[in-house]
Amino acid sequence: MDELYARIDDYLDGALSAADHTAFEAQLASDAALATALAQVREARLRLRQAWTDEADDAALRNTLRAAATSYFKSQPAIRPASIRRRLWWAIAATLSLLAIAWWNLRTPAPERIYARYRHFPEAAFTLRAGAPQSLPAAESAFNQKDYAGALASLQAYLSTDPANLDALFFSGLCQLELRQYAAARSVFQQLQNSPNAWSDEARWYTALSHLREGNRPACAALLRQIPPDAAHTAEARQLLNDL
Amino acid sequence: MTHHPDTRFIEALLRNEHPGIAEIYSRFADRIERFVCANNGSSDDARDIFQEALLTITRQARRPGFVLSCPFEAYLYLVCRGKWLNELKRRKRAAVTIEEAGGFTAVEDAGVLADSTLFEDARNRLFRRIFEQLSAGCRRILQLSWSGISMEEVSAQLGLSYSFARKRKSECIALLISRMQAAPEFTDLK
Repeated sequence: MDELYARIDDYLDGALSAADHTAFEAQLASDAALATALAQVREARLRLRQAWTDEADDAALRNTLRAAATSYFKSQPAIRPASIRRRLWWAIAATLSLLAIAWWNLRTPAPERIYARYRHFPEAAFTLRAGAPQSLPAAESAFNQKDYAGALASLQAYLSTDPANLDALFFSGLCQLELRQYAAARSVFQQLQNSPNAWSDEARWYTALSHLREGNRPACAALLRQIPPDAAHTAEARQLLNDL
Repeated sequence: MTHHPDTRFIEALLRNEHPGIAEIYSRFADRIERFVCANNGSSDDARDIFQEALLTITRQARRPGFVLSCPFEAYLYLVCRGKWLNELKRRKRAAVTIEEAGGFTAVEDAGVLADSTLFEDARNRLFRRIFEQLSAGCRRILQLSWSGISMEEVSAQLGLSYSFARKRKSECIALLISRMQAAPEFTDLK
């Protein structure tokens, strides 16, 4: 399975050697499952590429449409007899929500509230690796179920045998952050920032969040200002700076 | 297939031209608003549906081979109608009975074009949603490798070895496809 999708992608990119290309097409003629997989990957690539290409044009058009709409829609709800009871329920629900928010604000310190708003951990997916030791599936399951102590124990067991595994390192840092082991988390995130890799941006972002959660807003703000304009969390960093 | 004279509205959307877009709103917004408000919606709902329908139509019009062969108004109405029906279903209204808007002429070509536009939109949204649910690492490697650069460049940008990056990309594609197949809408949208 690991190689199947790499071969399909290479085929679609025209990156197979002439011999591999011929062999792939011969297999395609007799293997319906391969043909289906090829069609699905081709469709995913086309649709996602188109979406990424359209992003800037869509945003510009959306702004124009939003501006035009203000002149032609009156922003008034339609009053219908059948909706009165629904409105009452909405009013009750809104009141309960406000009470819940007030309760949350009173009981939770501000840094923790802001941290909770910006903390969007990625899903752990270690089991994809062929031949991964058992500690990784255990870590993945524990992390995705928010058992950060359990996940950290499994990750540290794994890291003792493969200390350079970037995925395991990153997720161990997240566990430490969640368990309020700030210094340890920052040490792990620093390792990930020492050389460019798939987790560098994430590590920088979560280092900033570690300072925020610890109540050190100046350190958090200083790191947020260093996030480059094309990084994964640029927009969130700007928003968080405003919140701070 | 011949281009309908209303293609000028499509061109205004594709070029993001304010006067043409203002004309679309001045000519058609009122009727769509009446339609949405007559079917359990508000003016705000109508504004959102109108905007989303115009974005969807524009995305469809960017596709090679798109031809507007019917009046723009009929096409726009059917796309808005389909989107509003989906929204009502999403809001879990048990029985959705639509009161049609007056003043729109039923055109067969518009029905076919609107159906295909709504289908493409739904399928694009599905792929996008499944992609957004992947881990940040998977999203990054797929976006880089499907942006047209070689795997050597992708692996260099990510600080990974070539073989690991290739293996990781393969795993991420497998995950994307398996989640796609598991999505309840995947079969409905074939």
